[in-house]
Amino acid sequence: MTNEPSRGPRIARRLLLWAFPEREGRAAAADLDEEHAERSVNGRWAADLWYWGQTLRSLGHGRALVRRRRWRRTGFASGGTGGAMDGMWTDLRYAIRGLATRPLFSGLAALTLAVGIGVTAAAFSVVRSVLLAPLPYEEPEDLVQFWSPYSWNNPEFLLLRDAFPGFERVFAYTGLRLTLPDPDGGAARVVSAVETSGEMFATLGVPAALGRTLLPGDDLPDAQPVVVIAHDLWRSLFGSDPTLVGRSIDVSGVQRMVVGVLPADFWFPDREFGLFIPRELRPENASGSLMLVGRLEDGRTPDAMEAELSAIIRVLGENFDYPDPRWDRTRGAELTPLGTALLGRTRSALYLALSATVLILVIACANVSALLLGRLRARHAELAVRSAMGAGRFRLIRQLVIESLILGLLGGVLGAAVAAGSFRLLLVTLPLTPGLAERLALDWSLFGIALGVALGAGLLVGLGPLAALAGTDLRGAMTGRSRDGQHGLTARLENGLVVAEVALAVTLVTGAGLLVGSVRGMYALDPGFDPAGVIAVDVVQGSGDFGMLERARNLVELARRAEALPGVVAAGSIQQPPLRGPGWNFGFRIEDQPEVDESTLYRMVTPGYFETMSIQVLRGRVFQDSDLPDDVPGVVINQALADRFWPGQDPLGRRVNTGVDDRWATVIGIVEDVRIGGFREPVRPARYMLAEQIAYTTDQHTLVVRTDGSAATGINELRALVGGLDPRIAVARIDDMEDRVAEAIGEARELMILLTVLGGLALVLGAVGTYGVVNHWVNRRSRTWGILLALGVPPGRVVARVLRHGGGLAVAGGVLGLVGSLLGARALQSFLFEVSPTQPGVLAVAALTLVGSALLAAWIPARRAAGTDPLTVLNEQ
Amino acid sequence: MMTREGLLGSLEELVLLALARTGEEAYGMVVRRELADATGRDVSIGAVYSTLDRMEQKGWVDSHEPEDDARRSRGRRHFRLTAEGIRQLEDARERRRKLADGVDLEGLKAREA
Repeated sequence: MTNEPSRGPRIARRLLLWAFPEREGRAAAADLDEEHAERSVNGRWAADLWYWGQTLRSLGHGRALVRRRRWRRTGFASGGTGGAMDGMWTDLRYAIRGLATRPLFSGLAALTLAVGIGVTAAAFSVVRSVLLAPLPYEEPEDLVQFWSPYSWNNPEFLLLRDAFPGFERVFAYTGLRLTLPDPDGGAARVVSAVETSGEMFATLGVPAALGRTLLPGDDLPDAQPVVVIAHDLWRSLFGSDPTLVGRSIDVSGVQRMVVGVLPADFWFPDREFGLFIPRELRPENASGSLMLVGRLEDGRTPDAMEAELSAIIRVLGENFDYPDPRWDRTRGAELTPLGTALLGRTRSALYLALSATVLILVIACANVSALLLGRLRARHAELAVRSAMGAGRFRLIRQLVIESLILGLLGGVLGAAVAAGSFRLLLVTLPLTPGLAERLALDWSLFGIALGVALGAGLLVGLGPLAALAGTDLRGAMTGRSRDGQHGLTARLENGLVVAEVALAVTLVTGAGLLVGSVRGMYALDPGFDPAGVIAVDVVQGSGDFGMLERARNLVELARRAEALPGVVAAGSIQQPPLRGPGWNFGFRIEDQPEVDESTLYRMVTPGYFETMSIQVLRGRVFQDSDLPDDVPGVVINQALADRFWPGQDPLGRRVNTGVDDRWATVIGIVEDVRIGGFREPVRPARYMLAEQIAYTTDQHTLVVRTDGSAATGINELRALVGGLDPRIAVARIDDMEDRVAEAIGEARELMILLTVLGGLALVLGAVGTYGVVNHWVNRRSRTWGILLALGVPPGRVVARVLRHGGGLAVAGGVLGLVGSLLGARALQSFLFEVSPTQPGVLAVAALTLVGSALLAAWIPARRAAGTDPLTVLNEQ
Repeated sequence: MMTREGLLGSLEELVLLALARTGEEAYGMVVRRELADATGRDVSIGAVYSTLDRMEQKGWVDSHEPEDDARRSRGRRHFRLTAEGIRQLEDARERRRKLADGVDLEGLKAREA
């Protein structure tokens, strides 16, 4: 006898212990272990196999024993629930067996559910990690953003600082790009940065993970330059070096002391921002590019701040003049919750995406529900027998619920795979804030979500058959009374499901159609330049590294060198390329029209810019290499500016202010209007000035290079070109101008892709559903078709009759869908561009597509009905 | 002859017989083996314990933990026949005898042939 007890296969043993009451389980396991040990002498493998066989055959006995014990103890076969669990095991096995014997049906149903469950779980998973995660600030609900984003200035902020009524604290910030030199002497790296007043972190309520954050004293003009680093950047660029704090680093050519590292989960205003530097709040700097964010005093809400806002407006009005209504801070005062301000667009897009996937899920459920209903009809006899054998209605209902739950779970397992697959796709097609998509990862919670959705779907799917069962006379089935038309309720339910499916699909397809229309509308707009073949290189020249004129000279030199590359047709640079927001503007005055005083957009360029972008010159000329820095400055204006200030006159030779110094610049040419701000922005008056002539070359410029399409010069060559001139000039971004145009189309384009995919899915599901239901309808009436054909009715009439049935359902669904579309389009409104949500064309196309595909789906069973052999059918009776 | 609990089922009878043959030290595996050896039926251990439980309820067998510490610690239970269990076996044997009495197997064989 051995003291070392040998044991059988672990899982089998566990199973055995689970199935039996404790005492018998242990005894049985001990017995099997002993025999297993003896058998192992002749081969472990065979012994294991024997053990498994014993275990599996014993499970039923074990469960029976448990039930018997419970019955003895309580008088009920199950504990406490009054018999609800009685026979659960049997029902479960029965259901599994039933599904397994119809693999095609079960597979189709599970797959349909999987699609719905998968996309919904993926969308919900994204929503959960993006929107439901709290903002990484203390009590974020008390934080608000002020109106007039990116246009407040130092004097305004300084006037109200520490005295914003109703606020605990307010900070001012703006975004910029800074450069960090490469320690190995390579090209410098560009990092998005926040330049802020000292109270930013105190307002957000975020302490440093290491060292300290920024303090109010840091923003004084003579304070030591400091920087706070985001955790991600600290890790990726500085290898999480804790000794970094207290050291000085080169930031855009300025030595700044690193005073702290932020917590890992902190981000503001999005995850791209890696550096936080104090803004020198010089009162004489009145250029407006600041955002204000404040924390409300305890107990206040953004909606109940009217009195305080009026007070702020009054103070502003008393101290500043606002001649241009567009930049008038005393107008349109309102506070936006910070969460909405930072995630607003993403939020509505995400909820839209989630709603669309839920629609797919509901359609899939309706589809499977209709399939189950069809099968329920075929199973009437079986259910009737079970009922006659004493199965109560509850038992039958439970049987159906178990079946649909199993289908749901099966769909959930497959759906989890679909979800994992569509998660990445979703991230690509959703308009997320920068840096977010890369940080979202698939995690196990997705599978939990898929499972939850699957259970919900399973119950939903079971509703149809349950309703049918509740309204059915089972004894009728036994006596054979019920035939063709007698299952009125089931038929109505089936039809209702198809109508609902088609209606939802129409809604989705309409949404996709509206977005397609918007995107096409934007593409159809003439941006005013030709992006084909143009490569754009955003370069950053740090403020500590280069002076204004040096920057301008670098840009001219970069363009000159780029033009020397093979396959390059033209090159130039501009302060900010088109379609990237209105941005820079100055007050505009005309020498002989003293009454004119308003802001217009301006852009500093180098001579080759207009040629490179193929911007048409309407009158006069654009800048040339022969325009020298010391000449009287020239200015090129756009058509909109000419029309606005010199309607019907010749602007050439007129003189306007440069905006930077007190010189006058001469209008030398007029160019066509370019969509400077973006497709959604109206065309605005704009002027272009030569970077070398005006001492105002900001740190960011974009080098544009037109190639002949030969690919001789590409992204790598241009990157090397920039680094070759000076490694301190950093490339922030480099890509095709065409990509930027697509990007400027914005959320509409990304959502369009998503909704088109989902719309297509809805279309297929709708067609499959229609096919299934019409098919049943045809099958039930095979006798009718036989008689009709035997009576000499032409097959075409039979086809027509079936199509009429299917078409009727589709049309009903289409009409309902149009109503749904009108309601749903409101949610889409903010993403649409020059397309009305009630655009009749789109609605008609969506409805007709669905009705058409439904008719096509009905066509298959219709053909079969027409091909019925009368003899066969009539003989069956 | 009917008992209050009904007729002895065939698996019950076989298990009782196996217990009777193995004596005091009978436990699940021994019973299972005995059944397999004597009847050629490969009964599952679960069926054995289910049957033993049913018969313990009826009072035909009783069970106890083994004296041997090692065996007890492994959860083993030993079973033995009660007086009632022995009576059931006698009844069963009596029933069979009565049923078999007067059956002319030789005559049947001849008729079949």
